[in-house]
Amino acid sequence: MRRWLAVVGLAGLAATAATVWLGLWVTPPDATLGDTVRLLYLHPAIAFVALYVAGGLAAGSSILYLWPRTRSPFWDRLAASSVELAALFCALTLVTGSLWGRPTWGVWWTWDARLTSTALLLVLLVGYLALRRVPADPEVRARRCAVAALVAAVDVPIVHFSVVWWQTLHQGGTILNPELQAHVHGSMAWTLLLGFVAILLDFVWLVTVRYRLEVLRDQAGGTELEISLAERHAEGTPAGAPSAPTAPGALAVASSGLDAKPAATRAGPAPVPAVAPVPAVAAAGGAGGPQTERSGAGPGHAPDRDR
Amino acid sequence: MRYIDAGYAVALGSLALYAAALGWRLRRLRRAGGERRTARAEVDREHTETGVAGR
Repeated sequence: MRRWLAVVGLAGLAATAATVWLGLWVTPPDATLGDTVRLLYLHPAIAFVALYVAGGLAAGSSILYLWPRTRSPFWDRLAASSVELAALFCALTLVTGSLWGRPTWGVWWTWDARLTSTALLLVLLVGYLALRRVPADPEVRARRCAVAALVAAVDVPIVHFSVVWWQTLHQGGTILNPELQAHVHGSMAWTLLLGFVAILLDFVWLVTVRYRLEVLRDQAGGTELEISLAERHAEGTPAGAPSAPTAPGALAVASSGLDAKPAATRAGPAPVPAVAPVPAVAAAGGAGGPQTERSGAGPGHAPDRDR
Repeated sequence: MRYIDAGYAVALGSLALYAAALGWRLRRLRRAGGERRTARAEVDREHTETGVAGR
């Protein structure tokens, strides 16, 4: 996996460097656009990745997360990683487009349908990222974010068809438009194609690393809880006593309010904690199994702790 | 040409900065994970020494 990632990273780096070299120094200026055509070796590629690759990945992952049969943290993490990159690429699309628009159209920005719908997409993606930072139970957060990603994905076809549905300053499809029969020749065509490959490879590398980060972050959160539970557990359990649930079990109880209920019921009505609750345990969902059971054990519990 | 140079600089500079930030965050999390593992091992060792069952 690591070797694969290194190969993709190096290939992306080499392809990007080659695109820059070809785009800035080798290719000739366009007959109509002049030197500004050089920005088009990057801008459409970045927009393509932002809209269709990152946007599609985020929407697909979110659907797979919401579908009960395929629900897994993997899809949630992948969606989060894709949306963050979609937001970055979307912002870069707007900036590079603006830098191309100033010398070509004479304005930095215009309320054109393509530009406005792309800006709206960026706002929606940033909204997703903000929603992800709202503290909540991981499952609830994942569900909310999946819905938010699908709402943002609705804007993708609007961006795509904006140049067809409305009269816009932004040009419509050019190379793949059969009516235009446009041909890009020689080094310009290869540079354009290489730009797409380079940005795509960069995206694959970035999204994989970003996914790893999400996994590590989740593990770090889980480990903190595990340590808190272990310490809390060790406070009052004498050596040789019946062993308490292992950490993964404790985690499962702590992370699910439903699982914690039977333990609380077994322990008897209205258990009174003998010691002050540890914030990490209380915050994790609850009066988790081990703590509640010990509390329910009655007055015999406190001396155990002193021992 | 300055618009073109600016476009390339912003696009590729942002990607490079983002990649660097990802690497930094990844390294920080890995280091924190190592420290947590050490802390947990210490807690386990203390429990063994004092005769209090750990996990």
